[in-house]
Amino acid sequence: MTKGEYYKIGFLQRNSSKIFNVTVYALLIVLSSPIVLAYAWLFLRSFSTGMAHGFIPTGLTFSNWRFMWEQISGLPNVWHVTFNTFILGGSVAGVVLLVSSMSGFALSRFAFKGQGKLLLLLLMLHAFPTVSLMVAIFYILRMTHLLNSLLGVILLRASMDIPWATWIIKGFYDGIPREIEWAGAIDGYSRISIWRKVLLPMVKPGLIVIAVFEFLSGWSEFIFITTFIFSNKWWTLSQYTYTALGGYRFADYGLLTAISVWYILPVTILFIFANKYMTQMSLGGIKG
Amino acid sequence: MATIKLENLTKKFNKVIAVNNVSLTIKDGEFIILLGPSGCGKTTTLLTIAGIYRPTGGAIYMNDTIMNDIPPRYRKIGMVFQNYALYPHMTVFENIAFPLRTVKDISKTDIKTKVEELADKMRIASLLERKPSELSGGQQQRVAIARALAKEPQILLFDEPLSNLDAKLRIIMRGELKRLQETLGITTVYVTHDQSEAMALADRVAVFNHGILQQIGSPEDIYYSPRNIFVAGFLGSPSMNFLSGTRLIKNEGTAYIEKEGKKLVEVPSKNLDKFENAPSEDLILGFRPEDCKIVPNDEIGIPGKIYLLEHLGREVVVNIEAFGNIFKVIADPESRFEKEQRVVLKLKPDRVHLFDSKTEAAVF
Amino acid sequence: MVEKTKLRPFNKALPWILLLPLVILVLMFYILPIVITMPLSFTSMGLSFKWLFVGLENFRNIPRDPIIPQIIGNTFIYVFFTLIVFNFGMAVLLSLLTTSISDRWGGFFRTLWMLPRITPSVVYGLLWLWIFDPSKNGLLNIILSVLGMPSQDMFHHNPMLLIVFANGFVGASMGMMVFSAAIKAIPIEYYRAAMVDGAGWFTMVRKITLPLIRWHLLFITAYETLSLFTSYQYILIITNGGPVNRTNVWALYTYQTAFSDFKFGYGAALSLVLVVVGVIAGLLYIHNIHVESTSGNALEI
Ligand SMILES: Nc1ncnc2c1ncn2[C@@H]1O[C@H](COP(=O)(O)OP(=O)(O)OP(=O)(O)O)[C@@H](O)[C@H]1O
Ligand SMILES: [Mg+2]
Repeated sequence: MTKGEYYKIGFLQRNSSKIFNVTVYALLIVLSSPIVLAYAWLFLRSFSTGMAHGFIPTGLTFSNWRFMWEQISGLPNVWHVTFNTFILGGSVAGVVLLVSSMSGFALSRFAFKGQGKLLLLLLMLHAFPTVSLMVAIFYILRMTHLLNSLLGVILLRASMDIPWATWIIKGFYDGIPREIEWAGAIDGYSRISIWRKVLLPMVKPGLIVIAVFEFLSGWSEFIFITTFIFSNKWWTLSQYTYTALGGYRFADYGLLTAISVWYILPVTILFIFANKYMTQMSLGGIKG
Repeated sequence: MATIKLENLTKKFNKVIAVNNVSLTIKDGEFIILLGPSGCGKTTTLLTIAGIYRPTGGAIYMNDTIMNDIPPRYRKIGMVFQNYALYPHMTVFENIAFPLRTVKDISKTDIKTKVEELADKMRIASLLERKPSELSGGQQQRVAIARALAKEPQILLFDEPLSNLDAKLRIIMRGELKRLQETLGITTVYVTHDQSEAMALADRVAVFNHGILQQIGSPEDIYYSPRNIFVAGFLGSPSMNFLSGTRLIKNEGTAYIEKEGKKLVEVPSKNLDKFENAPSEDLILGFRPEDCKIVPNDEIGIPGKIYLLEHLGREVVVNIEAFGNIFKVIADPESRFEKEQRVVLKLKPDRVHLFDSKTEAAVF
Repeated sequence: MVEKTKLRPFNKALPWILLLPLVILVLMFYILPIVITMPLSFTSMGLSFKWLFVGLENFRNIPRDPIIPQIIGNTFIYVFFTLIVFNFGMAVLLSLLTTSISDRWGGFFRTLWMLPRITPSVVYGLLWLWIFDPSKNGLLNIILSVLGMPSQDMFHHNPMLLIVFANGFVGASMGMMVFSAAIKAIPIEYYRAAMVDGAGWFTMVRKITLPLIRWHLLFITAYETLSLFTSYQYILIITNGGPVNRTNVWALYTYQTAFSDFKFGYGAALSLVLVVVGVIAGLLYIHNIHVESTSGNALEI
């Protein structure tokens, strides 16, 4: 065998890494296509008169968005519902921020009996499927007169997310050198003032992440609203969309997509402006 | 200003005894240095004085008031941390003003005047609007000191404040600190594991090991009269040479230290009565590298052979092998030695130390 | 030197004061419901909310319930196929693919797959209604007609497939994120060595990647099994168990029993199974996440 024959390099060998890359991208694009197509359809459909072959807009219209200025039969006023949704999202974020920043501080910066066990319990609760407790929760909300009230849903949604949020924010507190806190103590502050004036400003990035996620969590909440809210005075966009879905499924995609696009506006904004942040943080937030 | 008294102070973390039964009194205006190897409990002692940690046993007094359960903010202390612990979200001005804001009835202008005065003193007046992350290590250090001084504390605490600076700046800051402490006259407790820093700064040095206070005294005291093997070995660089298995013999009215029948050094007669409470067998002989001479031959001395020469410029460290040990001796770089050369180490009789090998305590 | 009035001892109760809101909420919405579910399952409580204890009646009724065999069958199919195809299978595939390309584009595709998870569930439901729309307007039928095949009405012919797909596209992302993180943590030297030894992509995946992330694979499989078993939100929105219970599963049936039929006692009995599964999932979760001691950061004042 001569040296010239030893290396047999053809098209496949020369381009192996290119071929590999093309294959991987092609596979990913095919696998992800339902997601891309579905969301693209959602936006396009909401502004078009109809879709030729199901996917090609036939004309621009805003009549799909009529729910914003007209009464749609079977649905309450969308502005009122949107306001409720805002209140729910904002309050869930507020409650979770308050409770988790306090308990995360306690769990990160104090030594007390039962601390390790409490941390484990929180982790367990994070993984625990709350939906399995719906019956008992219904009973408790009835006893505490929190049925058919946004407050009940706010507290419930917040409680479901607090174990996660506490863990996240505890991680941020853990990252602060303890000397900072000692310095505060020596400079003349009580533990509570050190917390407020020194530690809280330092965990601000964590608080922002939690605020964003919890706003979305409240904003998107469906099961608790549909189960524990009876009067459409307290509806949020999830129940509004769900009811529209029941009334107009397969019939008026224009209206349904317009409502949906309206509903997912905050999610869209987050997706466009903060998607890097989002993937990193949501790993801890998801339950599977 | 303030005196500090530690009485049988003990601090345990679960099973680890970080500070073990330490008693010491710090005089008003004194500069005390806590010195010892890593993990010996210096920081723990300092933080217990600060009130960050609570003593497990014993008591802390400041001006004769028992302070065990008093939180740090009532102790009138200022502290500078190893990593400075400046608040990253506040400007330099805010950092220095932070302690002042706890003072009741202090006006905004008073705070401003005070901060500017401190900034002038520490020569950081031009940096007041910056964030700590925009400062060099040395500048952060000055801010940390200004902050510690803001409330005019009665006690200043330092935990290895110079260890994050480069060697040159460390020497400069060391001098500034000393002057500052002398002018202000504030009682100061300063932690370091750097013995040259301790020697340069301290009125008195407290040497720690394994949480136990080994010896406290002036720098000269602990250098020239170490109370045990640990203190003797910890101070000085290169450290003291030790030779074990030696004993005291008396020969025609003169006393010697000998090993294996060889007379090593004469014992000055003023030291003989120290053997009343100590054994004369199984002793450890100690001598510093600078306290001996290398001679070609002598009756009395440690016979050995040259093992290695380390040239350090100003001096040469001669390593001599004798009795299976390596001894380091500082010699004039002019002197001509050669490897494997047979020599005798001639010790200065009034500079040698002798330790009881069982208790490790110094006989003299 | 210290004014006597200012002296205040260290506050031992402070951490618990800070934890109070957390403790109250946890007691109210986790512990109490778990505790109440038990006695509730021994009652025939209905809309009257009377505690009428009926002993083991509810539990005796479960095997007698005519829909239960179908429910169990559906639950098995739902969990098994969603897990194998998506929550595990697709997750492994996506993590392998996205870690094989540049981090930027890999991250882009992973973010794309996170989108279903952060989309409000009702909107996400609408997307699947459209994809499987039985008329010519649905995505599936558009694709089929392009391929020259006849339209399909999945809602009647194979509704479970729809449920598996809808849940799977949400469920794949958790495994994908966990596996991707694990794969990225594998030292690059292993792959370099393998490449020099002449291994191709498949060999490296089989001999290096998968063995090294086997604990993650195991954890996700177990955890996702349990969490699929207790989930019903998307089924509720898309088919509500229909047509005639063909997509009804244990968790949804429990929900309907309580909140459509208002049989709280029986619903509680059914949900007891879910609670047990939930506790196991929780234990599994903490077993897999290392909890470090935190006392090192404590300040004793
Ligand atoms: N918060 C703590 N929890 C548990 N053990 C501790 C804690 N702080 C210190 N220790 C232990 O106490 C001993 C003394 O520690 P300390 O920090 O006082 O040492 P040091 O003399 O300051 O050392 P260095 O020179 O390295 O700073 C060490 O064994 C250390 O591990
Ligand atoms: Mg230290």
